[in-house]
Amino acid sequence: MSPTLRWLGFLSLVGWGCVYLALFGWFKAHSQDFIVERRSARLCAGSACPAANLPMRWDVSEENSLPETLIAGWGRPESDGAWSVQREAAIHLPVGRGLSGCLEVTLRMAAAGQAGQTVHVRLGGGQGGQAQFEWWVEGQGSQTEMRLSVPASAADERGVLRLRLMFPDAYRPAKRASSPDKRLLGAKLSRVAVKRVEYGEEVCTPKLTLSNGEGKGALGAQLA
Amino acid sequence: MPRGLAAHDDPNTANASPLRVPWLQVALWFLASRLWQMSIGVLALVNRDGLQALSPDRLTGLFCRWDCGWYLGIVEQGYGLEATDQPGATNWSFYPLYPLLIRGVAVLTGVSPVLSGALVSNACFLVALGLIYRYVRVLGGDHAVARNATLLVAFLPQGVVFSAVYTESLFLLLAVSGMLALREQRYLLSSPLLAALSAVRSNGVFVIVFAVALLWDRHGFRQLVQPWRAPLRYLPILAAPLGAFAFWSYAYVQTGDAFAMATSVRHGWGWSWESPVGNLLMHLRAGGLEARVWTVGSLCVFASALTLWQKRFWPELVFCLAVFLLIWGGSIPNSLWRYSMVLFPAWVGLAFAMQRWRWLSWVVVPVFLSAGVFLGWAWATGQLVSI
Repeated sequence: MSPTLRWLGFLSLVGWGCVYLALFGWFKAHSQDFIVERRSARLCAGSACPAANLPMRWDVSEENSLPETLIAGWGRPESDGAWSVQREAAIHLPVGRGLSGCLEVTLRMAAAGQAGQTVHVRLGGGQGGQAQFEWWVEGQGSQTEMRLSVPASAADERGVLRLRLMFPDAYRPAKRASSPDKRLLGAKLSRVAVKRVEYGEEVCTPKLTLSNGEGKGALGAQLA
Repeated sequence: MPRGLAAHDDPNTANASPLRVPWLQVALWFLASRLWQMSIGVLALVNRDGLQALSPDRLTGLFCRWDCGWYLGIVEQGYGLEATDQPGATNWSFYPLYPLLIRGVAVLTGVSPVLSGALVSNACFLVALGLIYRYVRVLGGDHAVARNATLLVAFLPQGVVFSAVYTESLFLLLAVSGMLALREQRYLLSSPLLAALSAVRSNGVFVIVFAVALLWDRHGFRQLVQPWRAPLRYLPILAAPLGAFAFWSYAYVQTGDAFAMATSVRHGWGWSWESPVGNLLMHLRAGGLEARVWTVGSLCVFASALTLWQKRFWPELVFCLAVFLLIWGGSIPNSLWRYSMVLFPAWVGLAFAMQRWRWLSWVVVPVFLSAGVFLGWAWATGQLVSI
């Protein structure tokens, strides 16, 4: 094989590799979890959600399992809540289109294990942008209640407010102790609530407050 | 000439080229093994249901258990189906080449998709057995070692999956043919085979590890990092992910999620990648009978793969290790044995080891026979352990 042909062959292979990298990067950047999207599309029978009658509150239990809004990453609801069973879990709240002002979303949860866990949440995705929070959820069964204030415009075009929770410290009890529980546990969600809040003329900026007083954990909040 | 070929001429093939595959013998081994596997299944069905188990429908059903339904769903209705009793489990978890072949054969022959799938699987398995024979000969094994490796694969416990509507046969065929072509330095031939391999199962792309290790082993590290000197050698490495990329592109167009396969196994089966050692310990400690059988079976294949060490077959060894890392890294133990058993280099290594240490045969043969009866029986009667 002549040197010219060899170099042409080599450059073709390099080009081919670059196409792979570009395509992979494109896919990573633009792919959306199709299971989450598919389930979210079923909310409000697939059309735009009407304005919800706020405040709304759900106590998650076997009877009141929020099967439609606990979109993905949650286990079968138990008597006192539902465990997150993946490193990421999604909650989609059909608050409705056309709302203005500020919404306050409350999540009450207890972390798996003794030590507690860090939880990240991304909220929104609509015109109001996306807010990211991080907090510390107490372990040993202690309930931590988080109140997230966000602009109502953070809901998407169908009026669905999307919360994406991440549990980087989730673990399987069966790997640590003699527990037979092989689920990947992050935190147990026991309550979800949404209400409107009035700040007068004050601009609604995303913020996080913890209800357990100690504030052991509001590690930060920012607009993406 | 491939390494070690001349040193292992054998009286049985003295007048023939040592690389020639004795297809008649291979066909006989194939038939004997299929008869063995199907006999176990039929006996299990008759034992449970009496003579009515001998109806054509029930016997055909032996080719279709567990994941077979997913493949048939793709053949008949395409992608997009979701299990009603397993939220998040969709047929996007299954790669498309095998269902495409089934559909092609069904259209050409007019037979049902199940029979078409069985035809594809058996044809692939027969050819794969012949190529495994040749592979051992290329590695320098004599007729006895090649025969033993072929027989080990033919009589693998739960080897009924090689005749069923499962991807194992096609995966085995493409893996052995692609790797054989690489061993024989036929890069233009190996490239499409490896590309097709990654369109059968996601771990097919790991054959890249083999291709790189083989280049290193054969030409040294210096040549390996100078691809402009002989670019053709690198063609199979670039071609190997092509099947996976084609599937990802199709999934992206259809669902907006190029990684629909990974998404589906995460939501539907609870799959996530974690520490392989931690997973193995968890399966052994906290798993049920099935998880323990799968894990122990997989560890046995791993032990067999380690025998590749004694012959310095590094490329095959690192390929097996890479696949083990992937499948052990999965948090669920389902089908660990089935995923492991298609790693044919492990059985090639074991066949070489059996020649060196004769006593091994006295361990391997009874284990294969007893485990074969156990898993074949479980397959026929629909026990979870055969999933």
